[in-house]
Amino acid sequence: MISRQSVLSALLTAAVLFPLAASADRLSFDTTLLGQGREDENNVGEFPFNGYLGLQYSRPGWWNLSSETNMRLFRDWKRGWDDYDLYQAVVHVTPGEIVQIDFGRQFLSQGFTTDLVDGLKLTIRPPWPVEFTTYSGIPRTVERGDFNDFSGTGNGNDGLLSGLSVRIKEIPRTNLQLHTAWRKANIRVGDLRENDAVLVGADASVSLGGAWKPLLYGVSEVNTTGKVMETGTLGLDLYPRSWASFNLEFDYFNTDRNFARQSILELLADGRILSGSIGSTWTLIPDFLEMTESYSLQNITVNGGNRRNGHLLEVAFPITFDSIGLDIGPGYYFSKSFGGDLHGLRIAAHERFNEKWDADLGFDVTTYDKVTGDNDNAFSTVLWTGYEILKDLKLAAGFEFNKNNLFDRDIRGSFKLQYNYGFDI
Amino acid sequence: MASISRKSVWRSAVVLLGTVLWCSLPAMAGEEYGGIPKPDSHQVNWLSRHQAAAKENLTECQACHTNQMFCADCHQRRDTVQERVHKRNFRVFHSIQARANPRRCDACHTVSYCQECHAGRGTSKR
Repeated sequence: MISRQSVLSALLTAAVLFPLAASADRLSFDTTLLGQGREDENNVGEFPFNGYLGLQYSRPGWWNLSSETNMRLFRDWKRGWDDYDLYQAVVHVTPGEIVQIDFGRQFLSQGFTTDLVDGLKLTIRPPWPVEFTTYSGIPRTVERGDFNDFSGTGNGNDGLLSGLSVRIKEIPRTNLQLHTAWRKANIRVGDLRENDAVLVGADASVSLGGAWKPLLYGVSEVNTTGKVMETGTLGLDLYPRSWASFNLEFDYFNTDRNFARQSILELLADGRILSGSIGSTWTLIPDFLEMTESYSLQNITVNGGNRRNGHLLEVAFPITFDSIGLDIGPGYYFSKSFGGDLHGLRIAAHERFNEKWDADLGFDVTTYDKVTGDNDNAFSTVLWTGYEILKDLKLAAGFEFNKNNLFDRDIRGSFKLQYNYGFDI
Repeated sequence: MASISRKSVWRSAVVLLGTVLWCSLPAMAGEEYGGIPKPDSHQVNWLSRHQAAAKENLTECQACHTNQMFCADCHQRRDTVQERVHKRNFRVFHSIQARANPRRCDACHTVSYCQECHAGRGTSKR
């Protein structure tokens, strides 16, 4: 069953939106219908059907009013499942030159973590070289249902997230932002050790100038109640030539293991993670061939204080045939950790036959060895082709064949119908 | 929590959709975005390191990515039909990559997401 609150919040946004649409300056609408036929491991049919809806409107002359809402309605016709996700339903208002108000369900990224929050965000931009953003709301996740109970009390309580960010402006070639946040796992409980976390952080980047255009950046985040540094990042971008770009980064990650809201890092690591990464992009033949690579090494404290290394490597060679609208991306990937190791090859191709018709084809082969003794190969091929049957109305069909240790033969057929338009009133 | 019948939801959605289409009949125009080139920062390792840039100055990101759904699309939306962040076979060997850097998983997933599937209470978000 779908919760009433989810549906009412979306309909409320629409109810606000449409009376104003009569005099709105701009109204945009996009919808996608996405469905698939497949079988699960027990050969039971599944027919998931997704209806995505996005609405945006703006009325610049009325306090610069604008609003966006995006949602999903889900129905599996075979299994009889229903679901609903509300990704955002936010209204933006700028009642004065220096104040912006955002209220409703919104995606929040004000340091520390990203969250979907039902709440209010207030941004103040005074005529000084500083900008303030304060927010408060209930953090949600649509991953397992809009309303969850991270506290484990059975009260359907998602906690509370409040905070303040201060951005320092007008420092030449520099971005600097300071953050503080207060997160409650259970909104009704006060406990600075297990339920409440007070976080402080600073993020900055400096463009150092010079022929190589170096950019130095850093992140620092401390959980003051848990007395642990959760994130430390120092990175450097270099652009020595027009055909070469580099990134180096060092990271420190940890988490407060007494906090009631558990993280995946806490599940798989007993202590800190140290990480170093290097990435580069090379233009080997202009407008034709590139090479991209990314490698990271992690040293992870696992159980008993032991430390293990983790490796992640990806190399790709994007090739472009402009004259025939073809892009091909062969690549190799490798991972090794205390869970095992794997090697993979993939190739993806995108062809734009003409203005209306395009296709995507991908092959992916992976061989892996797990510490559990589960060693196998996995293969996947995916084909999608789409055609714009009317202006801004596109129909696409997809086919998949997968083979792995769950499916000896996994065949899927999919369709996608997309329509979007916007108009001025 | 009070719940609402499926029939009511679909009926409301149809009414909403019909209203939108009716209002749009007078004029329809596609919206085009300017061909703004990607910044240099996006050329290398961007997927794994864009969090630092977003934390420093989100306003700069919003100059091009005006709709927050752009961020929510990866961080929040789950889609078992299309391949997006993870390829199809990721499910059979994700234990290796998760242990290579478990911090990466936290950017988009909650612990309950893992636990529900591993406890046999259903696959990913439909």
